[in-house]
Parts: sequence; structure tokens; C-alpha cells
Amino acid sequence: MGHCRNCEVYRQGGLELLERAVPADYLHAWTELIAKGKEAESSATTSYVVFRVGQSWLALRTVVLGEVAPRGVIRSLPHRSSDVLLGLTAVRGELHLCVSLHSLIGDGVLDPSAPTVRFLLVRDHNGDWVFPVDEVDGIHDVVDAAVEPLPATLAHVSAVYTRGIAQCGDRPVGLIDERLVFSALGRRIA
Amino acid sequence: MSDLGSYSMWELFRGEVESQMQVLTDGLLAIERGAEPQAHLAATMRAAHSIKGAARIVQLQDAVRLAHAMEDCLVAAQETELVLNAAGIDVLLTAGDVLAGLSSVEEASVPQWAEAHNTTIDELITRLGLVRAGNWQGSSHEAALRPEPPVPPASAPVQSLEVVPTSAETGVTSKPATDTAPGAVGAESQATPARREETQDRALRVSAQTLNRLMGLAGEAVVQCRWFEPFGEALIALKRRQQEIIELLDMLQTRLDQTDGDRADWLATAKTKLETLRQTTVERHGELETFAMRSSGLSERLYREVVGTRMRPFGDGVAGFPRLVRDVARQLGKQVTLDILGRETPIDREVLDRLEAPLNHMIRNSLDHGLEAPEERVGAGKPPHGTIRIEARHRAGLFVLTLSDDGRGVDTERLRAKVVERGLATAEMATDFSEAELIEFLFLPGFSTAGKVSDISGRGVGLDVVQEMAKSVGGMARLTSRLGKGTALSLELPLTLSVVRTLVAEIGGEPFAFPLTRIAKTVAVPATDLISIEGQQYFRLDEERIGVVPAYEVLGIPRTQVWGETIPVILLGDRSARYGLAVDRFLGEHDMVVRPLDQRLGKARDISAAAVMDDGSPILIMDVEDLIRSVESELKEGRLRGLRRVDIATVKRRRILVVDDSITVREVERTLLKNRGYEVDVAVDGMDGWNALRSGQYDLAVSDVDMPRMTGIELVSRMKADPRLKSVPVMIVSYKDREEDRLRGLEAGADRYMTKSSFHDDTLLAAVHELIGPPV
Repeated sequence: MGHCRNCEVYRQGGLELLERAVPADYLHAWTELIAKGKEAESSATTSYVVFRVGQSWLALRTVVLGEVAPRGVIRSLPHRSSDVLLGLTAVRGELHLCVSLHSLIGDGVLDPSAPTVRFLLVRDHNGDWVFPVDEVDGIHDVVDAAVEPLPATLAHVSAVYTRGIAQCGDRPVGLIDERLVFSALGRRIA
Repeated sequence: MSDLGSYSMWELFRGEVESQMQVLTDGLLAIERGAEPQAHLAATMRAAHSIKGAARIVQLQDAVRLAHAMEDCLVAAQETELVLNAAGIDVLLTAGDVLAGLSSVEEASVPQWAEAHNTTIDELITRLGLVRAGNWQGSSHEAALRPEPPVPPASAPVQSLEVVPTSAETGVTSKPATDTAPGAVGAESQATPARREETQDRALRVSAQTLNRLMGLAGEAVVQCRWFEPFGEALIALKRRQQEIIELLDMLQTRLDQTDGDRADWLATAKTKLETLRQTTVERHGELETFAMRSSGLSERLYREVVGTRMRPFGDGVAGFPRLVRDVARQLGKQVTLDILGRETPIDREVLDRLEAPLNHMIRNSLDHGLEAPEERVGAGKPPHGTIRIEARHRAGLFVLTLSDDGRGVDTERLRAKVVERGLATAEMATDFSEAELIEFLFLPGFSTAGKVSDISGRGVGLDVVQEMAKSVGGMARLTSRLGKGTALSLELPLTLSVVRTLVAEIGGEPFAFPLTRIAKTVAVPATDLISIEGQQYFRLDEERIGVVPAYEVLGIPRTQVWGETIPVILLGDRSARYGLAVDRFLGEHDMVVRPLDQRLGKARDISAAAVMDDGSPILIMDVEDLIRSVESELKEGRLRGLRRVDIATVKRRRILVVDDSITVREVERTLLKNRGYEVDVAVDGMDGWNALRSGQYDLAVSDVDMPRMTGIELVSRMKADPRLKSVPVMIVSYKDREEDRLRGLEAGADRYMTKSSFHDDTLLAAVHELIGPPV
């Protein structure tokens, strides 16, 4: 049977709760927590999907990710397909342009026989893009403040699509600036 | 939901005015024709009232005032003795036009519009007041008040389509259009106001993108359902294996019976349990089949419904014509009735949209030139009022539209003279032309028989525009006429543009779809029938010489195979210039749901659209006109060469036997090798393979390892032990990629050991090439 809020038993319980002995490490725990507070302030994170293109491990913001799809059939367009524009592919019954990030960033070629190959569908406000990647690692939260700048060798190259490097799990990953990639793709297929 | 949310109040106002205007116009015209006024008055009054309400929400005082004056007028007609005459209806219609004009203005330019139309609106309100008082007899300068022809209000920011939920069934089966009884004024007046309103209410706005996405998902649902079939087969295989074990246990049981009671018991228990298991498998399989049937039925229905949303009743596209006929006839002093039959006939919204302009031309033509003035008609023994009839129906999978009038018809003798006068034929030639041939001339651009060019018709645009439109959607137009009796134009159009029947052909190893309406025919040309002139090949077909060009060259894609004794050819073009496009092979006829190409691609040469095939893979739909242009320009520049010797295999090809118990693997290997040009036979297991090898001549055997009856290893060992077969190279292709598996295969005598991942690249083909050389 429960006790109503006004009865003696309830009151007694409340008093006991408030006046209970402080645990031994109570003060210490709070000291720790408050001391850490300042660090925790800058812990805003961004979610990224991490994948491999050729030798490079790259990441796109998860908000632009539409779908990770199994490898599909690509139909090249006569007179039109280039190293960047692979052709058309269907994801969930919808047709999309299929492009090669390998060619765009200039890192190797897709190994089509690898069982890890996936198609990434990303959403651009002008239309969607699908591109094959060699491997998908998964979704990682990256602490914004922990993003490191590009190495000097890369920072001076004009066609760079990464805006920084972050540690995802045990490997460093290039964070892609999707706007740069989308606009470059738009130019390259026209 | 987001669809509606993204429309501004202004958009909603526009939508309201658009639909209410239709009710208003229909009602007013019906009243003018003398149809039972009360019902129509009530409907038109409600329409004016709704417009007033909508205008108030977007705070357009001018529109509110105008709508209010219209409403007053209609209320007066309803409640008092006031009879609306043609002049009064003119004012009401003009007021309606002003409101319709407002609804096509962009929101930002509304203030300018209001300023520009201020005086017009005031004048109209005054006149409406006079009409209400029964004091209006018309004005000589009525036209001055009439706003510019209403601009089609299609400038909505989101490309939106109106979806009327017609069932897919009516989209396919042809519905007799004659369920609206023909009659002089009957057809028009039968569309009661209540009925109209109901149709209007059922229309929803859905963005084209949403509709495309729905179509994609529905298509995907159909594709996904196909997974059930192989899974069901796998269950059957499982059942068969269980049966095999039961049989083994039976055998074991006969041996054990006499010797050991205990073991026999265990065995009996094991057998019973296995029986139960088998029974369960059978039941599950049955359940799966039922479920698969249900869900594929459902997803196919869903798909048909979604495709069907592109259909609209024909009536939606002709709603403006009664008004057009009325206004023009009044202007010309003619009496004309418009009959519209088959309003419910479903037709693709895109075809419907494209029909409007040419039909408009043709109706104006009929009114101006086809139909005579009342006195002339009476003189010719016809009733004073002429009739224009628009009839829509489905016939043999086509949408057939007939526009006919009972006017004076085409004077073929005058036409004959005109043809000669224009220098289109000599006088002698012209005398030989039949009536039908003469009428063909009317379809020439700029050819008009009209004596004078009026602002209504006769600018030489008309039939050629109609012809152009019909051709652009893969249909045809025909004109028939009887002098003194009338003219009839009939259009045969595809029911829908969203589903096209295509021939799928393989070119350069990839499938391409050719719309059936755009290809003349297909022929399998024996290689020996090809005649060569200056490097170009042609063949004879019914006295005609047809040049053959390889499709892969026109499309600029690599050649992946050689032709055998016959060459599959698709004939393109018309009688003046025909080309034979040599393809790898025909894959059959398929219905394709057309999806537009991504706009970012711009115009893709030779390609008009794309589609998703039954297996979920994409396919390109050819733009045949473009393709013909490609062939012509390539030929002109000498870039295109005909079929070369190397394209056609004359030597006996190398034969390969593929042995595998999985049908998928077998087919992949067979297609891979066949596309390369090898001749390929298949065997379903080691034993089957062994028999085939002993009876046939093979240059290479490609075998799996794990197979029933005889394994690949055993097959290789037997071959290497056979004096006649030991020289035939063998390749093992297996899923097993461990080093010991490899060694086991090579020790048995295999020349190569490959894993099945080699299908995905050139490794398999390269190895075949290494072992036995090219196909020929």
C-alpha cells in the first residue's frame, strides 16, 4: 500500500533522505566534475559518415547523406560519360546520376570486385548524387574543436575538397567540404 | 503534407479562383443555352461567393467588390423575375475574366495590377448593377473592357500536377465514350453543376517530384517482391535435401533392424523428427508462397495506381472550349452548339496539356471557315445552328479524339487549284490526286485555303501544328471531309507518355530501349546478304537498299562482340531515308515507365529518357530522331564506317563448357563468355559435364568444385585420366579461396584455379584468353 504525501511515514522518509550521511568520495567527485567543466564547454560535435575512396579515408557530414546502398548497375551515357560522370544508376527504384569521387579527388580506381563496395547517395539542393566508395566505416561524431588543419603540402593545392582532418576511431580522416565537392561535380558533368 | 504547406496564401487564392471560375463559366453558359436555370444559378452564385471569400483573405478589395457585384446579380436572377440575357452574361463572363487574369498575376505584382484595372473594375461593377436592375442591353465597345486573353496560370513556383484519383483500371481498359448520349445540346447540359463540383473537390495538388519519388518507390516494391521466388526455390531445395536424408535413414533402418534394437529405436526417432521437420518446411513454403503472391499482387497494384495518377479525365482539358465557342460564335454572328463526348476518358496529363493549343486552333478554324452563317445553312437545307463535336474514346490501346463539324467541308476542287497555284504540283499531276491525297496538302506548314486572314483563324497555322503535336507524342492526325456535309479531324494518340512499349536491344554489352512507335521494323539480316560499296554495307529489303551501320559506332561505345551468321538490325527513319542499325542482339519487348533525365545533364545526345528495368537496373531510352541525325552527320563527315570483316565471325568459334550447379553462376559465366564471342554450352553438375565433354568438342571446360553427383575435382581427375580429354584445358572457378583448396584443384590437374570474384573484372576473360586464345 502506498502512503499519501501528508502522512507521517512519508515525511519521515523525506527527512531521512535529506539528512543521510554524505558518501565518502562525495566531495571529491564534485570537485572533479566542476574542475572539468571548462573543458566540456567546447565539446560541440558534428556527425560524419566515414568511408574509403582509393587509399583515402574521407568523411561527409551525415546531414547530406541520403542512403548507403548496395552496389548497383551503372549505365553509361553514350557520348557523355567521362572519368567523373559514370552514368545513371538506380537506388530504391529512383534514377540518379552516378559520379566517381575517385576521379574527382584523383585517388586510385574503384576495385569493383571488393565485397565492401557501397553506393553513397548524397543530397545536394540541386539534385542528388550517387558515388561508389570502396568501403564504408560508419557514422562518427567529431568534436568540432578537435579538427586539425590540413598539412601544408595539401593546403596549397588548388583542388582540395577537404577542410580538415579528424581522428575517427584509430584513423585520421579527411573531412570533405560537401559544397566544394557538389559544385565541382556540377561543373565536371556539364 | 509538405506539399500544401509550401503554398502561400496567394497560391491557395489562385487555386480557388481557378476552380471556381470553371464552375462559374460552365454555369453561365448553361444558363445562356436555356438549361434549367435554378440549379446553375445556385452553383454560379456559390462560386462567386467563394471567390469573394478567398479575395477577402488575401485582402484584395477590388476583387472582393467585383465578386460581390457578381454575386448580387446572380442572387437577383435567382430570387426575382430577372432573366439573364446574352448581354448580361457577357458582363458576368468579362468580370470573371478579370478575376481569372488576377489569379495569374505573380503575388509581387498585385498592386500594379490593381492600379491598372481599377477603372475597368469600377465600370464592370456599374454594369453589373445595371444588369441586376434589368437595364443593360449591351455595349458596342464591350471588347474594350475585355482583358487580355487569360494567361495560363501555370507559373506556380513548385511544378505541380493535379491528381485526380482515377483508377488504373480505367486507365487501361477502354471505356465506351458513348455513355453520354449524343444530342444537339444534350452532352453539355448533362454535366450538372453538382457533378462538376464533385470532380473539382477530388483534385489534389502534388508536386511532380513527389510523384516521381512515389513511382520510384512503388517500382522498387515490385522489384523487391521478386526476391520471394528464388527464396521459395531455395526452400524447395531444402525440402528435397531433407527427403534425401530420410531416404538414407530408411536404408540404414533396413540394415539395422535385425542387429540392434536400441539403435533402431534412435534411428526411428531421428526419422520421425526429420519427417516433422520436412512437414514444417513444406508448410512454411506454402505460407511463403501465399504471402509472396499477396504482396507482389499488392505492390503491382500500387505501382499501377501510381502510374495511373498521371492520367486525367479528358474533360479537364476541354473545360475552356464551351466559352471559346460561345464567344467566337457570338462575334461572328453564328449559332453554334459544342458537344463534348467522352469527358471521362482518361488520358495522360502531358498529352492533355499539349492537346489544348492545337484543339484551340482547330475549333477556331471550324467556327470561322467550317461552319456557315445561319442564312447560308438554312439555304443548304441544314438547321440554322451548326454543331461542333469533340469526341474522345479509347480504341485498341490508343486515345482517339475526333473533332468534327457539320459545316461546308473542304472544297477539294478549290484545293486542287490552290496546290497548282502554289506550284506544289503541276496541273497534270494535280488532276490525278485523289481527295485523300489533296487533303494531305492541308497539313503542309503555311498552307491555308482561307480566303482572308481574320483575327480568328486562317494564318496558315492549324493543321500543321496539329500534325506536329501528334507526331511529337508518337501519334497521328487525319482529316476527312465531305463537301457540304462537314469536316472531321481525328487524332490517334498514345494513352500515356509515362509508359512506352519498347524494344530492348543490346549494344556494346548494355541494354538500350527503342520506343516501338519510333522504329520501322526489325530484321535479322544474314551476313551473306550484306553487299559492300566503298566500305559501307547495305542489304535489300523489298526492292529497297538499306545501309547498315553498327550501333556501337554511332553511340561511340566499345565493341564487345562479333556478329554470327545473322545480324540483328533495327530499321529507323521514314521512306525518304532509312538506316539499319546493327545491334548485338534483341532482348525483347518491354513496357518502360519513362523517367526524365536529370536536368543537370542538359540534352543527352541520342537519349530521350531513362527507365528502371524489371530487375531494378537502369536503362536508357533512345531518342530515335536524334539517333537518325547522329547517323546522318557521322556519315556526312565520313567518320562512320560500315560493318568490317572483323565484326562478323566467319570462322568456327571456340567452344567452352561451363559446369556449375548454381543457375546464377552458370548464367553469369555463360553471358560473360558469350558476350566476348565464345560459343558456350552449360552443364548442371559434374556428371552432366562429364557426359557433355565425352560427346562434344570443347576447347575449354570451366567448372565449379562443390556439385552434386560428381564434384569438380573428380571431373578434372577423370578428364586428365582420359586419353582423348586430357589435352582439353580446365579452369576451376570456386567460392573457396583458401590455399589448400587451390592446391587440391591444381593437383587434380586443373590449368587454372580462380575465385568467383573474378567475374567482376577481366581476370576470368583474361585467363580464358590466355588458355585458348580469342573466340575466333
